[in-house]
Amino acid sequence: MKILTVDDSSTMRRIIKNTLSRLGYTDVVEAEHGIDALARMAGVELVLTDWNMPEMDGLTFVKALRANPTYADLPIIMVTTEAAKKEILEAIKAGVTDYVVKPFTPETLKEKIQKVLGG
Amino acid sequence: MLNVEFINPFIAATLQALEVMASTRPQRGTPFVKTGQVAKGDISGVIGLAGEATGSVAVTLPAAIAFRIYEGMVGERVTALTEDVRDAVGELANMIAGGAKAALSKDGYRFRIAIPSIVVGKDHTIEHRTKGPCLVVPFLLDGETFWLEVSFSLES
Repeated sequence: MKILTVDDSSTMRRIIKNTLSRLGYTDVVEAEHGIDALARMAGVELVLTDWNMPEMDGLTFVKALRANPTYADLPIIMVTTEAAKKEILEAIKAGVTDYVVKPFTPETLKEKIQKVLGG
Repeated sequence: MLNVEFINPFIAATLQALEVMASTRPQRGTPFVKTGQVAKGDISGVIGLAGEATGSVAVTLPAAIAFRIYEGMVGERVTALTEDVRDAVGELANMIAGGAKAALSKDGYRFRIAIPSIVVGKDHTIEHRTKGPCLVVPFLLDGETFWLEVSFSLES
């Protein structure tokens, strides 16, 4: 399974890749922001995206994906420091499948990934 | 004017970020008002806050603590303030600001957080976004001290 992780922080991408690797997912593509991510979508079956990023933020990226019928059912997990109820509702409205608030434990991320993948 | 009640969500967010992401439990010291702009650490992550409340928050760390936190977050040892360590300090500042934002939003204070910036070097300066006082909270970790700086005020 090809997974795309989108975050302007290389540290966060590394942490997410490490967690995915422990779950057995090693085909991971990285992007630094939404525009970069849109160019790397070929074959992607799960997206994990930050919210606050330069160039194109995560919310705009999610809306762009959901506007394309190809990605209507694609699982998208937003992984962000935006933890206020208003922001979470905004992300859900934009089309995210699930939501992980930073800081997070590897176990939390693992549970969310397994949940959206139906595992 | 910095309302002291605003400092607690930043302290809580600092402790939570470091415990959850880096498996560290620093001890909080006694806050004091900062004089001047020079930071005490070797590296600082600074992030601006804007909206109904404005200001900035910075976490300023000695190199040894930055290495310790990076190792806790990523699982790799480092001995220099590399681009990766700088990024991790920025992400730490991001999590502190985000955690405080969520807590303060429950009390009706809404603001946006900016993309973090990093400053490196002995005696570097941190320019906070408000003209009001800056509170500094020291934390002790593994026998060394790092500092959280918060300069925060409500828009009138």
